Amino acid sequence: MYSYQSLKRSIFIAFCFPLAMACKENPETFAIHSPISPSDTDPVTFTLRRIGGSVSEVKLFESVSDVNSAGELSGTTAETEIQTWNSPSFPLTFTKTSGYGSNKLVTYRFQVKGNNKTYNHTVTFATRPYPVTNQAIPVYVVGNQDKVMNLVFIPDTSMNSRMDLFFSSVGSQIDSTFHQEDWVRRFRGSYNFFINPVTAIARDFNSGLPHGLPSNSSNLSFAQGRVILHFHDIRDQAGGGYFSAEYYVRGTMLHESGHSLYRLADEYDSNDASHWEESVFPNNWDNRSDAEAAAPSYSKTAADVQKMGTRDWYRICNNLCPMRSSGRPLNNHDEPCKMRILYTLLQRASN
Amino acid sequence: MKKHIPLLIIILVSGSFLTSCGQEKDKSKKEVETAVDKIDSLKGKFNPSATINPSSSHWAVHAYFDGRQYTIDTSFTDIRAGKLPYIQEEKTSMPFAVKYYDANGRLLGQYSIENPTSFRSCEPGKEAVKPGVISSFEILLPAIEGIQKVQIVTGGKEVKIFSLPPLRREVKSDNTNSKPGSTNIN
Repeated sequence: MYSYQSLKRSIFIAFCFPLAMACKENPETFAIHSPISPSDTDPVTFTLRRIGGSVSEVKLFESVSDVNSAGELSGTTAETEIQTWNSPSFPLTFTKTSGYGSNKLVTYRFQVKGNNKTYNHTVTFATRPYPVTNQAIPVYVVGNQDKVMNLVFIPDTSMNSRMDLFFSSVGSQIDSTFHQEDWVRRFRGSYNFFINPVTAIARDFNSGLPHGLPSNSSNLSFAQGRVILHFHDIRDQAGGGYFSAEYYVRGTMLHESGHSLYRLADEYDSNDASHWEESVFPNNWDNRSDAEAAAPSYSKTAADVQKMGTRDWYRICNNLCPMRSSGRPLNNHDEPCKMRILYTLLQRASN
Repeated sequence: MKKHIPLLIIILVSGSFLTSCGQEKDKSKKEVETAVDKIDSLKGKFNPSATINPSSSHWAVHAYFDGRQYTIDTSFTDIRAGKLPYIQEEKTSMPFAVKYYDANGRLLGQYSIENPTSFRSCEPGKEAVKPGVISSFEILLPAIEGIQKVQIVTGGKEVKIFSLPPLRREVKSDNTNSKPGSTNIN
């Protein structure tokens, strides 16, 4: 006799089994080059890592231009295929051993095929020295400056004798922060990264003094984020459109770029924290009932609403939210912050 | 026949799931892919000459704060390369709002930022803000014709309103390095 229990089990298996099976997924990969800001003779290694999905073929192309002091391009070479991987095993690397020479702007493109889709990662970087005097040096740029987020890494004077460390730290921050956090990485085509050619002075918050801005500060006002990377042990601060961070911290980078790039408010329990409620996709609410009403749209419940400090400010994100912490650890953004990030990236691209 | 019913259910339902694998799997993932595609289609190409010959620009006006009052140096209006870095808002939400109007008093746009006279440190349990300690800062505006008056609002109250000089369409590119304490590393 065919039992009801047996039928239930069959239906359960029938629904769950396919979900448990690995469907072929669209490929998700991300690209980086090293060193991030090569000199004219530095060999450059291109790397493609896989996040998920099935990849059947990868091709790497390059195109090189001369750039002059006005930023004008000339002698742009035709895009050339320099490497192909069939049935690739990740990570993929390719090293251009000869270097690219001086006054060059290099554009490389990883073409990724899989699951009947084709994706392209197109990245541009300049070799050092960059001839456009006193302008931010493009080290990992993907789009028009007016359409994507721009973040400039500025060396603190403490980095003067450690410039190799500064350059490698910038590469690490791009690769291990912006390409590490799950949501930000999804929009890896939305961020231009630059290095500033002049130093700034990162100052301790407790000194009561603001940061010493770089002499070319007026050339950096196009950027949404400006971070002074330093070698000190100081209490970092943000002000005047600049924030500071130890060269190796990931959590602080994610937290402060949350403020400067997407206008995310603080989520930690302190009365002195920076709280405000955005009119569109906020991550802070100034009353509990609004937060509770918003919770279901983020797949949350009223029980997820938490008060921050003793004032009337509320959050819905979980306790690991990067806007709730800073420092070395790197955690993933939760739903309200994710929606705010998506909104600001779309606004930037659309207007 | 009955003993094959469970197997039949498994085959039928599994089959329908497998054939529609991409569609049924994760709606939100698809929505994200759509957003990524949209942003990718709009992002354009990096323009290395944009800092020298920009297709868009913004103004910078020098402002001063003495601890009580704001002063604006309208004789100094710098034109900078690039679009205004801030998002325009229907309703300003951050502590320092900048609103700009045409000659008829019509609001042309507005944005808000953290108070530029303060700096802060995000560290729970410790003093977080030093207010009003930065005496010199810049107010950025989109370089569009027609801006006549600019209003600064903090804490919901107007603290300053000033008129702008006529627009000068030239990009100010600072190619000097005269500021003490800065070193060129290029």
